[in-house]
Amino acid sequence: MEHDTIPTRTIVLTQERPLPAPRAAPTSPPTRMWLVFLVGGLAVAWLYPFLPRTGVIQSAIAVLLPAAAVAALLVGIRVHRPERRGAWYLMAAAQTAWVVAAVIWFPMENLFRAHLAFPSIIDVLILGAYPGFVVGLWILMRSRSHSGLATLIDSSVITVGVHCSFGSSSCRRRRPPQA
Amino acid sequence: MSPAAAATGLSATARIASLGYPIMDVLLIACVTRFAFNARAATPTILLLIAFFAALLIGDIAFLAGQLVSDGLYHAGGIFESFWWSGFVLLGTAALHPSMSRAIEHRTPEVPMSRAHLVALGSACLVAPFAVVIVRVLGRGTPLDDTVIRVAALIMFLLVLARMYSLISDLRTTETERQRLVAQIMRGAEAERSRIAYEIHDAPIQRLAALSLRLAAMSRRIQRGSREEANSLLAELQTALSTEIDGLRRLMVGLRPPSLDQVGLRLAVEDQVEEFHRDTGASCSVDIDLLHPISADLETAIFRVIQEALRNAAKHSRCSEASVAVCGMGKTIEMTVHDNGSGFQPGALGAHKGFGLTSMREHVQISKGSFLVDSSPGHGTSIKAVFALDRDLS
Repeated sequence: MEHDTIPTRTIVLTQERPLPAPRAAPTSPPTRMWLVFLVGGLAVAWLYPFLPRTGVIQSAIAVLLPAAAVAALLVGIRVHRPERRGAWYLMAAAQTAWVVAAVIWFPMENLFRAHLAFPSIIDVLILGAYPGFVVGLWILMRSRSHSGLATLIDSSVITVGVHCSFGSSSCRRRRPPQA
Repeated sequence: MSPAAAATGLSATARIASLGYPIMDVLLIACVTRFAFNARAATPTILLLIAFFAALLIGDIAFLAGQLVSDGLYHAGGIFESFWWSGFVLLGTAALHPSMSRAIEHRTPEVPMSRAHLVALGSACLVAPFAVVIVRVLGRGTPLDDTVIRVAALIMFLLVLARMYSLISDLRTTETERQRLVAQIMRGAEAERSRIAYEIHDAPIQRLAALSLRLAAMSRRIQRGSREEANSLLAELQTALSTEIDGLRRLMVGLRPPSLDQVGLRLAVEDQVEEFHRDTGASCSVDIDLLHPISADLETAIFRVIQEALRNAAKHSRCSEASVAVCGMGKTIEMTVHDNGSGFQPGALGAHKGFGLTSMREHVQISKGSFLVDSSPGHGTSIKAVFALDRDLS
């Protein structure tokens, strides 16, 4: 037997004092801030390559967009109060490392026409950001999913397949990457 | 990794940094793929996070490819940087979206292998042979690195073997679990029959037998002509009979609440909450938010878990507040019963698992759901269940 759609309805049975909400209800940021952030951010991101290279505006975008993501992460953690906040703070820390790298990297490249040696502090910061993202994602994943062997094997199959598609091309004659 | 590993004249730190980027990307691919495979109840925040990592990876791969085919120097301002910036915008949006608050609220039920899942795995396995065939048949294109192909094929073979072993193990476990559940259901049905028989024998039959004796007494008084005494006894008998009818009705409601059949889950749960409030005096909120109709079986399972959880709270928790929430989110339904009572140490219950937890767990397992008890002494108890909304169930 099936029933029609059940609409939301809340009843509260109380004694003398009013019942506090079982959990602090998250308050959405005003006026769909996430939508404005998404649309505005993507528009700026894809306008970026069409701006004059080595200009002030490109440098500003390269610093401000990663910094806006850090701000959004901190606002989201404060407003939505998610479980496992550590995961989100880790990602915010990783993103901050990216921002610091961008602050050094892009103005030097674009404004001062200076190339940093490889490896430099920028590589330390960017490579340092990856573990933050990976561990943050790992915490979210562990909290969300079954820690089964099956998904581990499946993801390994995809990873090896994807890596094989890039790694099998013989690139030995090419130069090593340099930042 | 090949260029960095094989290049000559690189310092140790430069070699480590060069290898670091692709290694970190491979690590990211592994994490994101695993995360995506488990994203059955994907909220917008989860999808945005996956999109963020995908954009980051595309940017990195484009960056590395650009380095390999260019002069090896980085020139800022390229189009691939837009992937990085888009990724960061998606990360920020994931955090700002309201679904962030429930991004990891509950564990999702184990994901069965879907057709898309199988296609993705099959395609990944066929990448290496496909690349070899293309290069050999066309006779042109980039020469392949045989070592990479051989190592990848070996790893892939071992992974497929491990996956087959895991599937066979799962099948055995499922069969054992099914047999255990069938036996448990049969034992449960027998126990329930015995309980009903005792309840009927101990209460209604005893009292109805007493009523029969009193009717015989009334008959004798009527024969003796004691009309007033007979009338008085008749009034008592009427009251006793009404009480008995109420008792039988309560027994029937306990077996299967009529409201569940007639008006659905919401009113049935509200009835239980009212009873809980009457029995304990504790305040209790109910929040039921289901966007889609659900099957009668699932409705019954949810109701039974809530009923048992409220009974436990009333018996053991000494709580002053409780809440019941049922929320339909995409392809799952999440149910939570929380109380602020004395709580307990779930691990300390031992083999008996007490407090009706076993019964609740079985109701959830039969409906292919996952079950979680979150409790500690002095910090209340949360009973959570997540059910997958399969098409065949709804």
